[in-house]
Amino acid sequence: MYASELVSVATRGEIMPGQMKVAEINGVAVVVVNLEGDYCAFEATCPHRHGPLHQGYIGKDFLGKDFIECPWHHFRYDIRTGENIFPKNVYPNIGRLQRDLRSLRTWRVEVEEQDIKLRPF
Amino acid sequence: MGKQAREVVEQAGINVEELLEKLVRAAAAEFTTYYYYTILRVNSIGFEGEGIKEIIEDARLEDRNHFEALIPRIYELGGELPRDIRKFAEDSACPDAYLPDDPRDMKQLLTVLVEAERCAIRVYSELCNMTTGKDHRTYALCLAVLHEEVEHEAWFSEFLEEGPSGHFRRRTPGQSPYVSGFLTARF
Repeated sequence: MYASELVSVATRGEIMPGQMKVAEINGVAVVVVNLEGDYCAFEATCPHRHGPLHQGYIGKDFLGKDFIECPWHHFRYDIRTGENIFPKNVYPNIGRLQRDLRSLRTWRVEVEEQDIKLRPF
Repeated sequence: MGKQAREVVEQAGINVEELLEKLVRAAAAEFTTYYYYTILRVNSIGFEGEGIKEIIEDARLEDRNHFEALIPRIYELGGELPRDIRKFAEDSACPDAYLPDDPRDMKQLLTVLVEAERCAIRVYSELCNMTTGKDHRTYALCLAVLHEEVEHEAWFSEFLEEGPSGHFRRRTPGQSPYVSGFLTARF
């Protein structure tokens, strides 16, 4: 497989709106989410303490951002960009926290007919 | 450990090990928050008179009460606290409530406080959702804590001009009107 080759990870009917599915791409566990017909994909392991994000909670914050919340320590990430939302909103500048505030890795999702595909890095 | 107490929870369909992990993390969040709120409290001199300091003190003492109330339930269900306090603190359900870069910035300080309470609300809502109708004792305890965390959020968010809290202050510091019934070792 070439690095830029699209990889099929699910079909449209498999992931209902607001639901997620764990897939694997090049040995990395990836969560694919259906946000009202808009599909997003991000790494399945929380960068903070490696919590299982696929067991987390999907929601919308006060600013309207779709987030995934880690079930272990309640860190929140923007599903679309992977950026840490909480606790970065509280401590944007404290240097010693930077290792804890790393963004989630995200994948570009493409939908071809019924197939949901990701492009590997 | 209460063998029967644990068995009825398991039979109700709860993964007790997962529940225990969540309870220990919640206890760690209460313990660390009590510590960090001590620092926030001593740095809140003169904010709104001494109004904010008094509210932090109520929340601080009530968070300690939450820790005290959670511990018996953890051991009843066959769990335990980590032997090393560093591991305990590291695994807290909520991030550390650090003193902001500029301790004299009241808005930053209030943001730390209100977000700590919001995280706690999420923690106990999740525990209530997990235990409702299945583990009555843990549910009652977590609901009691949730009541107090919701009030704490409202107290602090009021000062961020997000609207009135609708609540009055406690009669005595750290009164814990909801959780005090679970503090059976209180002297």
